[in-house]
Amino acid sequence: MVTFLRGRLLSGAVTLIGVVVMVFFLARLTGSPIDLFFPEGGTEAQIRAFEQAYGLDQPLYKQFLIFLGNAAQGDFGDSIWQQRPAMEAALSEMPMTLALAGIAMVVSVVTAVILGSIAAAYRFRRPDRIITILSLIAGSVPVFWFAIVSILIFAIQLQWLPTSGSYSWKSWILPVATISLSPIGVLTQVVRGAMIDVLTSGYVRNARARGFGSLRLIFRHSLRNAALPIIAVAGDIAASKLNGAVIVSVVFAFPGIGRLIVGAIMARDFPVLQASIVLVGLAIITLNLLIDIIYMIVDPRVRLS
Amino acid sequence: MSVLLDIRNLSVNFDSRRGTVSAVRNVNFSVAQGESVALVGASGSGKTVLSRAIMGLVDEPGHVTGSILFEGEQIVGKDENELRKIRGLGVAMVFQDALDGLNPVFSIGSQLKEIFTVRMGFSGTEAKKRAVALMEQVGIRNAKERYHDYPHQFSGGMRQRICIALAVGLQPKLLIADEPTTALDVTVQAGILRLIKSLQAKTGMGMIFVTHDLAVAHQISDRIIVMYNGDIVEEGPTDTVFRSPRHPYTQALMAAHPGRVRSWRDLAPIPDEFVTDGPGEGVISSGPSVAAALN
Repeated sequence: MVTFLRGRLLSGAVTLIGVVVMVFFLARLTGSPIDLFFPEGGTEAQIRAFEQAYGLDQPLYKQFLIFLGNAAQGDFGDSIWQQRPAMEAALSEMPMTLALAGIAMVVSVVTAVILGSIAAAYRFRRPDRIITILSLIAGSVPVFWFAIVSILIFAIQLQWLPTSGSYSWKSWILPVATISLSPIGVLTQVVRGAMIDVLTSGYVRNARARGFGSLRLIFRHSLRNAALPIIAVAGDIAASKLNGAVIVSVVFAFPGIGRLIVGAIMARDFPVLQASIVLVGLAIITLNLLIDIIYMIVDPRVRLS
Repeated sequence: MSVLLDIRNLSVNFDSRRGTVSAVRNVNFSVAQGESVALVGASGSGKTVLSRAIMGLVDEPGHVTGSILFEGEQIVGKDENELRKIRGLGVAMVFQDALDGLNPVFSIGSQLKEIFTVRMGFSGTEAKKRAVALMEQVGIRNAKERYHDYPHQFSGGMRQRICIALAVGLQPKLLIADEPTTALDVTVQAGILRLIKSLQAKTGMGMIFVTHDLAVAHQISDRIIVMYNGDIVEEGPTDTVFRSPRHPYTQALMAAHPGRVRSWRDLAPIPDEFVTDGPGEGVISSGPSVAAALN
């Protein structure tokens, strides 16, 4: 177990280094922040001062080494546009992102477990067919399309919900629904498949032949086994939601790290972009580690090998 | 010997979109206390469905009609709650898929212990003691250390031994063994058969041993029942049936058995007319033709 965790930590560190390298060079492919900062063209002296302030006068490899050295100490520089440290800007957006992703995951998993279990219980019969078709549609609908159409219907036509922002609980409904839709579709199918696998397995049939009651069959002999694939897929989806659901934050003007990242790319605010991406990467790696630990607790086969 | 299990006019049908499939048709037989009966037949002949019907394990879309008396108690038509009381303690079953028979996320010991705490109401420590004893009884070495192991740390043969332990642990009156060695290595099979036979001799339980292997049937049974296409086509004391099989299908089965010939060239394959793709498609069915063949 200790070896396993050590391995995972090590590969997490390698991933993080990869993320750091990628974000640094990819960001610089977008162009220079100078063009955006001085749209009318600044004086030679202004540009020189700007370059010096952000270290842009150094050759690229030197910039990278400086960036690495500072990042290793937790210093990601100051934002070019906001007058504060880049990491502070990124961190201030994290609570909203975590809340949105967390609520969306709870909604997705709960809905999917209910629907998937119903489908498995009525497998190949009408309730299963209806749920399967709906879940395939949910899993296939493009997120941006659903976001815009839901604004059209619920915010503009019916005027039940606000179009954007995050002022009351009502403004959470559409973003959460948008983020949860595709995971509900995918997870419902995973739950259905896992439940059918377990319910038709030899060990559940054997347990039934031993004279155990249906509650014992479900809660002791099925639940934990069915949970394994669900945890794996739900964990994967959760990790992908930690980027702040970029489309949702743009369409609904919902605060969070996604909106910050998009803004930083547009403004070529490299320090903020780097800090945000590294923060998201760190969050995803941590989450994956957590999922591995949960998986180990649930499945003895992973624990021992 | 008194009758343990008495089956009369038992049929099992499965409704499907293309009509009803009869897996078992009007079957009659009985098992005496302590008797060992082999149920022989090709795949699809209805052996497994018949044994599941005795356990009350035929689910939708299957329907059981007729009568199954176990110790005088009618099993057909009982609801799940009443069936539960008979399962395990009255009739127990060992299935053929040894590798899928144990829950992978629980230790061997906890699964064995469970039958004693749940079905017999023993305390945890007493149940554990019994579980270890049971492991030793089915031939697991170092039972105490292996108690905490998980199924994936056991070989296929050892897992089937545990499945057998789980079935006989509650000392049932009747054990149904549905091809318990099919999924196993040939070298392991003999050991499992010896184990089942010795357990049966020791406990005096009745046994229905389902197999398509005639040699195994011969070795393990007092009486043999041959099923073909959902019907019982022949029944009698094992030695008699082996010496002089009466039904043409039984004769064909015997002729196809490699134990009887010197070279594989002498093997007689089952004639095409007996080969079916599933229930309800064979040439001989219940009724006059079977009766004629038997007479």
